[in-house]
Order: sequence, then C-alpha cells, then structure tokens
Amino acid sequence: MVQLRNATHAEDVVQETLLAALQGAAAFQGNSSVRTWLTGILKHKIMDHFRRQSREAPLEGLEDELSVDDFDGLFRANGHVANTVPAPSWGDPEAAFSQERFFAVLERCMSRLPKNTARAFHMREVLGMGTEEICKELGITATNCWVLLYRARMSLRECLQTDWFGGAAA
Amino acid sequence: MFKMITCRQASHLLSERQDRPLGWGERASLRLHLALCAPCVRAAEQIEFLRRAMARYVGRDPGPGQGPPD
Repeated sequence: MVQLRNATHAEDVVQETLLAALQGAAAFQGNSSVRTWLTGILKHKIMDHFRRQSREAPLEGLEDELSVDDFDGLFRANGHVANTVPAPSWGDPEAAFSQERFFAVLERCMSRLPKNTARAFHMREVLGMGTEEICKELGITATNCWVLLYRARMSLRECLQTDWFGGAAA
Repeated sequence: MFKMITCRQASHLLSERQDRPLGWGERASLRLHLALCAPCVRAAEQIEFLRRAMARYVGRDPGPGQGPPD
C-alpha cells in the first residue's frame, strides 16, 4: 500500500477491491490462486485511483521534482563521477531477494520518494505501465516522465546503498 | 557517430533504456562509455538490480508454508 501514501485512500481501494472481488467471484475460474487474482484486481483499482486523483488534482510540486541537481554530489562539474573508484558490488541479487527484510527496506526507500516521482515509479515498476501511458495519465511530457523515473532510480540506489548494503543488513 | 558522453549523461541513458528503446547513436555512446568507465558499469549493475528487485517485489511468491507478509 506504500504507493497510495494515504491511509484513507488505501482503505477505500481495499474496500473497492473486496467489493469487486465479491462481484467477480462468480467469474473466478479457480485456475489462478486467489492471491494472484486479488492482487490483479487491486492493481487495477490502484490504477483507477491514480487516474481519478490526477483528474481531480493536477500534479503539485512537479517543478521541484524535475530538477536532478540534488544528484550533483555524484558528479563533478564536468559531468564525470566524483568518485572514480567503483563502489563495492551489490553482489548476487538473489541473495538479497531471499531475505524478507530486503523488501521492507526497499518499501521504506520507496516511501521516501517525492510524491510525483513515487507515482511515476509505481506506475512503471509496480503496475508495469508503459511511459506513454504514464505520461497520459499524469498529463506530463515523455521527457518529464523519464526524468521522474531517473530521479526515482537514482534515489532508490542511494537509499539501498545506505540502508541495505551499507552495513545495515548485517 | 560516436560522441563522448559524460557519466551524468550515461546515467540518464542507463535509466531511460528501461523506459524507451535507445537510438543507435545513444547505444553506441553508452557502450563506449561503459567500456572505459568502471564506476558507470557499477551504476548499470545497480540499476538493473533495482529493476529485478521491483519485478520480484511485485510478483514474488511467498515460500512454501509462509503466508504473505501483508
């Protein structure tokens, strides 16, 4: 529920999901697990919610999120990396993914993303929407969409580096 | 046409290649940059790691006998 950032909205969406699930129960063929089935409905409901939200309130604070100057620490003025020695490897992804706590840290990192950045990232990586669709839903240009996704990935990289790989995992 | 790109530009391409097909020139520039820049290779690994983590986060199955955490 991290993507809704609002307990009331989250509850609404869950309620709508359960309602839709009950309504759809007759159509449920039993060929996918109930969890997968409910998750599918929930995803659609979250997408509906985002759609409604972006219709009701145009994106606020988008300008601030379109600047990527806050990653300046990573780069020198000439655009090359500040640190020429590569950071230590994150190792085998499977080793991290096998730990439930890794995903808790990932969720916490996502919850710290600025609002519009988080929304674009969730549409892309959680709901699996294409950028064209995201731009349409959010009413932003493709370039702005790529910048938001860039910002999300760079922030999450930094956050995971600090909160998971930086020794906190031990 | 090869164009030497900076690490900052490379980092944008590393992100954008997950969202759109890069043009021929962009792919060539990125490949050349990665061949010469170890820190950006690491950045590329981490961005790919993140994508895999998100895929797992969305579709991950609870292990046998374990309930979903939520």
